[in-house]
Amino acid sequence: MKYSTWSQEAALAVLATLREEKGAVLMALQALQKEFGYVHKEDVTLVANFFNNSRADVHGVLTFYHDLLTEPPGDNHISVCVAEACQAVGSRQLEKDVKAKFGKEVHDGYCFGNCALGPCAMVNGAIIGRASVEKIEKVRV
Amino acid sequence: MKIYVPGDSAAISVGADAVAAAIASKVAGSTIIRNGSRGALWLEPMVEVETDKGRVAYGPVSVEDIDSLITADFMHGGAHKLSLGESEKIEWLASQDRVTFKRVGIIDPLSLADYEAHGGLVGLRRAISMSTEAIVEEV
Repeated sequence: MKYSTWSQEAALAVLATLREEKGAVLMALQALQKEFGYVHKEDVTLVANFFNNSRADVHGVLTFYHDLLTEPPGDNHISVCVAEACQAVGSRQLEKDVKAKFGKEVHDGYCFGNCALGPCAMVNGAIIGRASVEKIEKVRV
Repeated sequence: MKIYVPGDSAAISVGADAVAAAIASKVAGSTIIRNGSRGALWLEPMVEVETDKGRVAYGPVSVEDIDSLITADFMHGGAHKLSLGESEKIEWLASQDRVTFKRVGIIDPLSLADYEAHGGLVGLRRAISMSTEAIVEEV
C-alpha cells in the first residue's frame, strides 16, 4: 500500500481536518495511520497538544489498540484473526505459518465478523475467508 | 438469463467477485445479479440460476469450477457435483420462517422494482393514504 512520507506539517494537516471533532484522539491516530501507514513517535506530542490531552492519554490509546502501528509497515498488511471462532478452526497454526513466511507484515487480528468462514485473515483491507498461506500469498502485492 | 452470485462481504471473502467476473466473461447473454447471501455461508459462493422450475443452486463454487459447470449446462439447471437442487428446497433454508431477512438472497438489493415486486413499500404506501390523525391513532 502507498503512504505519504511523514513530516510534522503533513501530520498537522491531517489533524486540522478533525479540528471540530470532540474526543478525537483515536480518530486522529487512525487518520494519521491511514495517511502515513503508522503513527510516528512525534505524533503523540502533536495529537496531545492539538486536542489538549496529556501525552500519557495519547500514549495510552496508541498502545491499547493493536491495530495502531508505531513502525512503518511493509508493502503488505496481513492480519490473521486469532479470536475464539477462528482459533477453533486452526488460526493459531495458520498465524504461525503465515508469520514464518511473511514475518513483519503479519499482525494479530481480533474478529472480522466472518466467523462462519474461518480461519479468517485480512490482507491490505480485503477479508479472506477459509484462509490459507496459499490464498494469502495470492492476494499479497 | 439471470444468474445470482452473492455480493455481501462474507461471500466476497471466499471469492464471489472472481466467480461473478468469470461467469460474466464466459457465459454469453448472462445477467449477473449480486444478491445478498441467503446465509448458508458454508455453501458460499452459492451461485443460483433461474430455471423453469424456479431457482437452482450450486455451491460452494470457485473460479476453477466454472468451466465444468458450463459443460454441465448449469445455466439451465444441469446436474453437476456442486448441485444443491432447487434453492427453496435446501433443507436448512426450507425449515426457516424468515421475517426481517425475508427478502435477503431473493432480490437484487439495489433494485427498487424488485423490492416492490416482493412486497416492499406496502406499509409506506398505506401510511401515505391515511390521514395524519389515523396514523397517530394506529401508532
